[in-house]
Amino acid sequence: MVVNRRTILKNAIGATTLLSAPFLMKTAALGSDPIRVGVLLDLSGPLEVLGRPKVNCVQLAAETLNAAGGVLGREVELKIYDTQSDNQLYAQYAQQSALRDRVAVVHGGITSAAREIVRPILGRAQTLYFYNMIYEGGLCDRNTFVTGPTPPQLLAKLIPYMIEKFGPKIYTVAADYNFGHDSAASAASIAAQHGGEIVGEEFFPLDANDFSATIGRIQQAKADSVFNIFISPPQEAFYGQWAAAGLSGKIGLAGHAFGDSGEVRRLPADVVEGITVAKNYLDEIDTPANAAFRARYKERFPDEAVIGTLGPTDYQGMMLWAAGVEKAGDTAREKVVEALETGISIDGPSGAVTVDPATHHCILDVYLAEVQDGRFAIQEHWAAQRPVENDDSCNLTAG
Amino acid sequence: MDIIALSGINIVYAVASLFLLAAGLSIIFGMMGVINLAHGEFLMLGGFAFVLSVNAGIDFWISMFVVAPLVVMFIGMVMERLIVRHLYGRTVETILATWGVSLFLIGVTSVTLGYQQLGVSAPLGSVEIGDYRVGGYTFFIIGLAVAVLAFLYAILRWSSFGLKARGTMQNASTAATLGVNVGYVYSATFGLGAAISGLAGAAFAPIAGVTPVSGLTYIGKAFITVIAGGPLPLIGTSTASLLLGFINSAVTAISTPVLGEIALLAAAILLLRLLPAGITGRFFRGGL
Repeated sequence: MVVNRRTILKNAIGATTLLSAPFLMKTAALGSDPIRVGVLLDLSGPLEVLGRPKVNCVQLAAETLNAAGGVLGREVELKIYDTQSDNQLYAQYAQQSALRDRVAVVHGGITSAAREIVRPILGRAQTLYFYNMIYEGGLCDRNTFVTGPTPPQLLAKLIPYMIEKFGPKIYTVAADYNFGHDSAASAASIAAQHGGEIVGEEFFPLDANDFSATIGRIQQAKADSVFNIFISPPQEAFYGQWAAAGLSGKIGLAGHAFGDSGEVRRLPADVVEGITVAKNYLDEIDTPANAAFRARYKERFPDEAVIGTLGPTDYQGMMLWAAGVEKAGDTAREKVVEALETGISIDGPSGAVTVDPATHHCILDVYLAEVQDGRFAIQEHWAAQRPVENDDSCNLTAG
Repeated sequence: MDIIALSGINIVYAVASLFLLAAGLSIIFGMMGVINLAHGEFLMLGGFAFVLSVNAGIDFWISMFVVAPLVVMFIGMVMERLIVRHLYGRTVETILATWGVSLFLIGVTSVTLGYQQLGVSAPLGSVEIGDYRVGGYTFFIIGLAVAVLAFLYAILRWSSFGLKARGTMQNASTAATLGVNVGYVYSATFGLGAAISGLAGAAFAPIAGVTPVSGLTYIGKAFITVIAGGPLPLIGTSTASLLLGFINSAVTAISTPVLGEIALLAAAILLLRLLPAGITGRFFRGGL
């Protein structure tokens, strides 16, 4: 083989290119490196009915963001974990998301019990957490943003409405865990402020399905209305037995978690008629923004009859987080928290959603509706409701 | 006065529902001695068979009294033929095998039927008792429990099948020497227990809903009732339902449902401490 100057030169150029290639490739890859988002939601087990639409909405949000060029020009990559309605798996997958997948943020958690498992783990791992659920209120955690509505937003509308429409005596039946107890306590204090009275309060294990004694006691207490704080499936047993006893329409009935898994379409029409709810989102919200959202959801998930009241909160949570990252120009936790604390706002299917910097909750629209002929008929709408009322015990931006 | 009537109805209802939930098990476990941990899933499958057939347009009462018992009887007989048959007299293996069947049935229904089941509303309207209202369906459950008890008693006491079944359960080899087809009797008796469970599951579906894990809420109570009842399957289960149902609903009426459940369990433990062989181990000997 003849070695001349020209071949040496050629080889040298080749070698240099080859040696520098990893460096070039790495810079190129960083620019298009996806942003990982952890999602912990139940896609099987009893909570599947709640988790499915929530996951759908998270996916819809990610696809919307990616179609618009991603976040900071980077693709949003979802790491979805099916927590199987099992709180132990929440602990395991929260650790995996934070430590193995190194996600930028975790969205998810359905029950308050699951949230309280995930929250400390993500706090220790310094991974930002979005809890996109209606819940009992009271959280004050710098690492956590709550995008769902709280009792001051929902119950402060629902309870006075029930008192005005049916009368002052309210009987509360609730699930026996933190969501049920804390929501019942909020309902009691709101009722007292509005001249109402809690004439009975009962807590049931989550698998309770016989309410005959309670239905007798509700009548004995001469309650004007019942406030139901169960989650499905026990609430379906309660509504069925309530209707079977012929009390629908005789005594008012409000459901805190009613409508969260398409109950209006699933349960018989005579069972659900007249049930009153206060929600941040309902399929029936009649705005152009919601019509567009419904159409996109229907196109993406053609088999789903309804969206339900929970999923859009996840959509709004994802969009709020993305807006925070865009504003921060970085996915680093501290910078995103600071950006969100500027009181960032997005327009969601339920209306404007604005971060309340002091509490890390959201200022939201609230809708009050009654079931009429198998649909929610919206009775009242309040724009931009604050997550806490006359309460400055939580101030995360102070100091 | 009205409230006393209402409480009385609730107590009778609690007794009736306890008996219905346990009746199928009283045949399979009380009579045949098979510890069927899939009993809850028999109830659940009865509920699903009922709800699915009502939503498919079949008449409410035909779905409850024909479709649900037949579907669960078929499943029960298949299970007996394939699994339980090989394990008669082997208690520990039976527990494991039927528990496996229970998990299998929960898994299969979770995947195929899911938790989004359409509900069926309870018919029969409601009844006014003074200022109070009680569902007509409550009285139906009470009547059904009485009918099931009478039906089981009649079939086991007076029919030739009942005679063969009782003989086989007492001593299978002697029955076989007398020309009884023991295999057929086992299979049919298991099927009878399963059919009654399917009927009970269907009866509760309109008021309690049905999901793949529904059975788990029933099975504990069913076993406690049958065990507290002792060796006589029918009299034992009905007297135990009477006692435990009364204690449960009486305590619930004066305190909370949670304390009612605790009282039921405490009463069962106390009962078995005092009468280790169950109620009919001490009283009513020699009946059914």
